[in-house]
Amino acid sequence: MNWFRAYVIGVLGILLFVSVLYLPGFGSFQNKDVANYYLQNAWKETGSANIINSIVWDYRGYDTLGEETVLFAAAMGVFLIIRKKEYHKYGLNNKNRK
Amino acid sequence: MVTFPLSFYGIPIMLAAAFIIPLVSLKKEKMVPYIGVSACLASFFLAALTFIDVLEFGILTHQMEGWPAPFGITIAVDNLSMFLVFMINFIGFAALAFSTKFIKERRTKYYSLLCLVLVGLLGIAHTGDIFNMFVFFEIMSISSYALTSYYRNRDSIEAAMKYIIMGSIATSIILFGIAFIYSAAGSLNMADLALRIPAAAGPVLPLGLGLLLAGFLFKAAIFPFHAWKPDVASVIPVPFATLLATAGSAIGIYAMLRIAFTVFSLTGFWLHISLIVMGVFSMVFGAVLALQQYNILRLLAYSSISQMGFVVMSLGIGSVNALGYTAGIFHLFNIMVFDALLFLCAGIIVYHAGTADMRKLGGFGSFNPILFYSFVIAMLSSVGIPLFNGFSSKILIYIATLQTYPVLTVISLLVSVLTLGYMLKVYDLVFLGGKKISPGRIHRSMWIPMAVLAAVCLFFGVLPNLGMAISDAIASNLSNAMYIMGVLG
Amino acid sequence: MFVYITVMLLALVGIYALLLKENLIKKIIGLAIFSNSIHLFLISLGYRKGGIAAIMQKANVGYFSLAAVDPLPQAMVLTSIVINLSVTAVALSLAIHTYRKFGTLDSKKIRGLNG
Repeated sequence: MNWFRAYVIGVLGILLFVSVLYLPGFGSFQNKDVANYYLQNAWKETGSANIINSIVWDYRGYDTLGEETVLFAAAMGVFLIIRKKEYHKYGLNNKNRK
Repeated sequence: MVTFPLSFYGIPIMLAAAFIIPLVSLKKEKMVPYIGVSACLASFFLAALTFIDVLEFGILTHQMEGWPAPFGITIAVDNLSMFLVFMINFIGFAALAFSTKFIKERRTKYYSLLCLVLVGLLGIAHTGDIFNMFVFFEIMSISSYALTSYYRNRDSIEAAMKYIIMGSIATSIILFGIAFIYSAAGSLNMADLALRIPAAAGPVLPLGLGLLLAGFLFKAAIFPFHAWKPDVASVIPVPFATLLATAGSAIGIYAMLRIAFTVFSLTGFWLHISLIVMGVFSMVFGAVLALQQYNILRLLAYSSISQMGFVVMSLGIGSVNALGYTAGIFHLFNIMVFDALLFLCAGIIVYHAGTADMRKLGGFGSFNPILFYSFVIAMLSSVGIPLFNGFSSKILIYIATLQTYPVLTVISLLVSVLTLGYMLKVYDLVFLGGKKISPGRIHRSMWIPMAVLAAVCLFFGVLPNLGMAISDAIASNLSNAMYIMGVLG
Repeated sequence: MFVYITVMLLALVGIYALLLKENLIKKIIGLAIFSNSIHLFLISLGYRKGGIAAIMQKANVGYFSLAAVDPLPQAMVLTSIVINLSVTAVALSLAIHTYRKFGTLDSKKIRGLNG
């Protein structure tokens, strides 16, 4: 039992539980100017009935591009770490392909 | 403020390079390094063009897909962002050029992942939206987790495992901070938040700010979050170590500056004290631990932790004395130049000797004059000897600390002496020593980046006023009035 | 209020597993629990009492913008789930390679680097 790490967890726990008291109440809908704009205007501007779809693909499509790049980076990473055999054995131009 | 930042096209160019490299490698694997290097050269050229525009207009903005400001994503490039975009492109080009000769096997995955790291770094510097910054931080982090285990031996796997566990805690803490800020302010755009935050009350906002700063300072490797940097820097290929140690840490400090000064516009007491304390601890710990290392890459990683401590301490002083901001940003620029030069010299040493353990090296003084003079210039810069660029920024830090807390001047001078200590240790063990290595040639793709960096070191050492003027222009931008006006119109 | 307390309890359980357990797979599971607790927190920030889902249908066009829940955190969580999936994939492949090189998954025995 690493006491330093237990201490860090304790401090973080106290911080998080104390902050629960100051959050806006569950169900009260405060500070939602941007969300109200999306709910009122997404159908007129993008033509999509699913508002979340219009946010992910239209208003914040750049974030979705970043997310797909993360998927590509993870695929390259897993490929880099796991591969047991040499790459050149599977190349298109290699005559000694196994 | 309707001009488009041309350097933004650097992100799709590097992304296209990262996607094309695996396709091209199926037919002609020899072209893979040249695609990466030419994409980075195009991006650097665009960044140089945009630099002139930013100096004229002050801030360049663009709304992605035309959606107006708080409802779409903003691309906002002001002086601070432009400085970082330029340096990332410059050091990225140096790292890519250096790795054409350094990396010989599994080149496809290496170049693709390195281009993705550059996409991540450039994306963080261009964006004006916190969640978008989080997504691009993740692109950079996941590509670094993958590249850390490039060599796939025992040390690499252990370092990568530690890095990924610690890094994902930091990422989740950043997301926690974004959730708290959204609950209190209701928007995700940085300029919009800067307008809403003074009106929102409650202690949830300082907690969100604290969590965000903890996450970003992890990526910048400041004490107490510095533990990943020496382990990672000793097991990765040296060109990538150059990029990660200099530009990776600088982007962490940039993100901290954006959140603390542009979004929150803080000059309060707690931020000031905590930045100074963390900076002082980083300086002292980095220098003391660097004296004990025998692996040259670990030593250089601790050295960069120590130098980043100077920057953080100076930025902490800046809220009391405005000279601190100028000194901090100028020193950040100088660190990126001489640390990159140190890592590239270490790269040549590791490439020709095959080992990074300094007890087995020796006699490199007669190897190549470019290597020798570059290392001497970088060593004298990092200590802070006059006529080199480290002095120009360190003297500003000494003056700024002398005007506010003189005890910090004493600590800075002692840390500079310790810096001289460990740099002389490297010089003695690697360049002097019993055996003599016969003179050899360095390939031109390796010595040209080093010569350019050394020339920049000498230039800003001999003419410090130009550097001070640029840093003043950047530091005066830290108040967010022009940012909000430029983004929201 | 109880939702937020549940979220913080889940976050503590996740961090406990991440920091204090020794097996690598348990650490990765702890990471997944911690990140999912933050996603739950984000979604529960957007709730409205008596709210309906943020999908427009012919039946609820009239009162839609007064009764729908907040769609923006849900979009953030969609992106974040994919990002955490990628991190878990890279971490698990590293765990596989750790087992190949070290023969064990105990984090106390994976100590080769010094300093």
